[in-house]
Amino acid sequence: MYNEKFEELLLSVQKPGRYSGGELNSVIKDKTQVDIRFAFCFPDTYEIGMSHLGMKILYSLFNSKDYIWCERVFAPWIDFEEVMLKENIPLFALESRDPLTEFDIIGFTLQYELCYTNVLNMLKLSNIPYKSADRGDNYPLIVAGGPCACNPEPLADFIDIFFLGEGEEVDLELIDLYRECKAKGIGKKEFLIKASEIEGVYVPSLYSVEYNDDCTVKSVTPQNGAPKTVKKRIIGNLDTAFYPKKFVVPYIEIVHDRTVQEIYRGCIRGCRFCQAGFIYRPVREKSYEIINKQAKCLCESTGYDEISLNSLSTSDYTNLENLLTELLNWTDEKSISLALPSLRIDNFSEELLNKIKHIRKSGLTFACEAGTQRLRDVINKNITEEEILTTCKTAFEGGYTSVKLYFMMGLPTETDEDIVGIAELAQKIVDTYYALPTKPKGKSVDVTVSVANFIPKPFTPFEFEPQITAQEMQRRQKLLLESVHTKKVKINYHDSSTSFLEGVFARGDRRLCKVIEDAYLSGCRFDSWSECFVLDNWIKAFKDNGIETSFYCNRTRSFDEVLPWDHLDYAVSKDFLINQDKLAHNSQTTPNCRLKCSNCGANCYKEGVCFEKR
Amino acid sequence: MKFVSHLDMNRFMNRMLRLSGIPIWYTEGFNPHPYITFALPLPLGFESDYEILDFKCTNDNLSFDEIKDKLTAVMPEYIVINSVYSPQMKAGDIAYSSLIVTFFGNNSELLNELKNFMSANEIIIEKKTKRGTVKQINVAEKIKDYQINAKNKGQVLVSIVLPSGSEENINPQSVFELFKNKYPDCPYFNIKRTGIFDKEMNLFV
Repeated sequence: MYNEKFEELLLSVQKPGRYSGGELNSVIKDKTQVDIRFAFCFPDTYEIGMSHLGMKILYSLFNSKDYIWCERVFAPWIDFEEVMLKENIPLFALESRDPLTEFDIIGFTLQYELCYTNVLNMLKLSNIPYKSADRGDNYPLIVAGGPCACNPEPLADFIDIFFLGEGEEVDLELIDLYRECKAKGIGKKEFLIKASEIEGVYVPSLYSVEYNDDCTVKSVTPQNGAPKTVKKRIIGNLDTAFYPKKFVVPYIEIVHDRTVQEIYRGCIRGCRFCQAGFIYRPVREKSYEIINKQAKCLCESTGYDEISLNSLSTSDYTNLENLLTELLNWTDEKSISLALPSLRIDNFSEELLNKIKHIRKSGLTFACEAGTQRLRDVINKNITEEEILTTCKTAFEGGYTSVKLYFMMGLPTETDEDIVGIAELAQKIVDTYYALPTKPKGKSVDVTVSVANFIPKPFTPFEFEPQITAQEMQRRQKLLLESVHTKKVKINYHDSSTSFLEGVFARGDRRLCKVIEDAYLSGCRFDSWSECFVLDNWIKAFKDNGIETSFYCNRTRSFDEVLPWDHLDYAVSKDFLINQDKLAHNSQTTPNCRLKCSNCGANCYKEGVCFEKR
Repeated sequence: MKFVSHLDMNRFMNRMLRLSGIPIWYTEGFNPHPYITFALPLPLGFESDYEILDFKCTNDNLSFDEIKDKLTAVMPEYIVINSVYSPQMKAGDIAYSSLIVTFFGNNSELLNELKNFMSANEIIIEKKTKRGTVKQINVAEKIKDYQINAKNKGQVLVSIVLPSGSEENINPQSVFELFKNKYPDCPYFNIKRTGIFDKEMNLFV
C-alpha cells in the first residue's frame, strides 16, 4: 500500500511516524511462508504502546517461531482515523501494511480499563464485527490478555479468548492449537471448546451469568466442558524463560525509549490497595548474571543509551548491589545510564544512593501512599514516618534537591485528619531539608506531592470496599490544597471523572458490555486522554441502559457476594483477601513474604519466594 | 525516513553511531551527550540525496574508510553513507540548497500554470519572524535558478535552487503551498534535496 497517495495522507496528519513502520529491528517475513499471522494490537497511540515491555516480549517470542509472523498495530490518532474513514483505508499492521482481516489471530493487551472503547474502535476500523456473536469462522480470532484480564467481564461480549496471567507459554499453546485446528478445518465453535481445556485460557462465551434481583451475580455456569474456574498461568523460571535479544527501535519520540530489563515478577509487600502485588504472585526473581547479559545484548542491538531496571519494588531485589556492580562495569565507559524506578522508601540506603548518584541525576520518587501511620497500617504500607524522613535526609545529603511523593486519596477508613497528614508530612520533609547543615548552597527544595484517586480493584483485600464519590474526592482535594502552607510543596491531583469510570469497569460485570458499545457508538474513544474524554456520553450510556454506576463502585460488598470475577483464579484465595480486609479495619499489618509467609495461596505453584529460605 | 523529524533524526544517528562502535566525543558538563550536528536540518516530509552530519571521532587511528564501513554496516538500506571526510567548510558558509519538487500528475495545464507561477515578477510568501510578526517575502527575486521538466511517467519535475542556511532560508514547501492555493487542481507533490552549496555555488563539503 505504499504510494504517493499514502505518503500524502501521512504527511497531512500529526506525527506521521506513528503509521509508517520500517523501524530498526521490526520483523518482516514472507507471508506465504508462515502458517499463522498474528496482529498484536495495543489499544492506544504508538508512543504509549511502543513503551510497553509485554508487547516487546511477545512480539519477539512469536516471531522467533518460523511459522508465526507477528506484526504491530496501534490505535490511530483521531486525525488519521478521519483520513482513514474518508479514504476507505481499513486499519493496517505496521510491518506489512495489510488490513487486519488478513490475519488469523488479533490480540489486544488490556493494560487499563479506559482503553476499552479503543478496542471496539480498532475492530470497527478493521471492518471486523466487534461482537463475538456476529463473527463467524471467516473472521480472525480475537484474543486479549494483560492485567485487566483478571476481570474481563465488561468485554465478555467482544473477545473470544482471554489469557489469564503471564502469556509466554499459554499464548504459544493457544497458537499451536489454532494452527492444528486450522489445518484440520475445525470450525471456531469446536476450537473454542478445545481451547478452554488449556490452563489459563478463559472463553467467556462458554459461561452463562445469572443475576439476582438486586443485580448482584447469582451464578457463573460453565458449559461444554469448560472448567468451573480458570486458573492463571505463571512462568516458573525467569532465567530460562524467553527474553528478547532485540527491541524495535522507534523513530519518533515515545514515552519510554530505552532498554527495559525486567528483574523480577510479583512483590513481597502485600500492600492492600495494590492489584499488581497480588495478581503477579508469587515473587520470582531473575538472577543478576542473566539480567546483566540480557541488558548488554539489548543495548548492543538497539544502540540505546539508557537501561531501566523494572519491577514492582526494585530495592527489594535480593541481589541489587551485585547487579548494579556488574552493570556499572560496562555501562559507565559506554556512557549508558541506569534508571531505577520503583524504589522503596524504607530500604534506600546510602550505599545504593552512592551507586546511582553518578548516573544522570533525575529526581527521586517514593510512594508513601498515606499521610498518617494509622492509615499506612490500614493499607499495609509498612513504612514509618521516621523511615520516610531518614530517606529524604539521605537523598538531600547526597545532593538531591527535589523529591516526588506518591499518595492516594479515598482509601478505606480515611478521615480528614489523614488528608491533612499528607500536607504535614510534606512540610516535615521540607523542614528536614532546611535543618541540614550540609544542604547545597543557594538551592531550595522541591517537594512534589502527586495524589491519585484510590480505586478498589479485584483480587485485592479492598475489592469489597466502596470507592468515594467524585464530589467527595473533590472536597478532599480542596482540603489538601488548603492544608499546604509552603510554596516548596506542590500538589498534583487527578481528574475524578475518569476515576469514576475506571472504578465502574474495574469491578464491573457483563451488563456493562452494552454500555461500552453505546458509549463507543456515541463517539467515545481515547477515554484516558483528557482532550477526548466526554463524560456526558458515558452518563447517557449508563442511563439508557438503566445502570446505576454507584452499584459498581460506591457500595460496600458483603463477603458472601458472588463477585463477577470469582470464577477466575489468581492463586490468592478469597479467604485470605477477606481476612486482610478485616485486619485493615483493625489497623493491623501483615509482614512481607520474606519475613513470614501468610499463606495467601500463591505457593500452589511451588515456585519463587514461597520456597526461599527465610 | 521522510516521516522522521530533525530532532528524531538526531536521536536516530546517535543510536546508529553507538551501534557502529565508532567512539565519539561527548560534550562536557552536567549532562554529557554525543556531539553530532546536521549541517543543514531537513524539514519533515522531505527526502534527501545530500545530507551532512558532523561529529568528532575520538580514535585518530580509524581511517575514513573504516568509519564509512562501520556505519554502513548498521544503517538501514534507505540511508546511504556516501563518503566520510574532514570538513573543509564551516556550517556558516552554507548559502543555497538545490531541490527537486515532483508533481504526481502531468498535463499541459499543470505545466503552463507552473511556468506562469515561476516566471512571475512577484511570488509573495508569508513568513513568521522570531518576534511573531508576519513578514512578506518576494521569493521571485530569491530563486537562484529553476527548471521545469515534464517526464513521461505522469510526473512534472521542478528543479530549483533556493537560499538556505543561517543567513537566509526559503522553504520550498511554502513556495509550492502558495502555488497550490492559486491552482486548486494541483496534484500531490513531494520534495527532495539534491545538494547544498556555498555563496559561490560550490558544493558544500
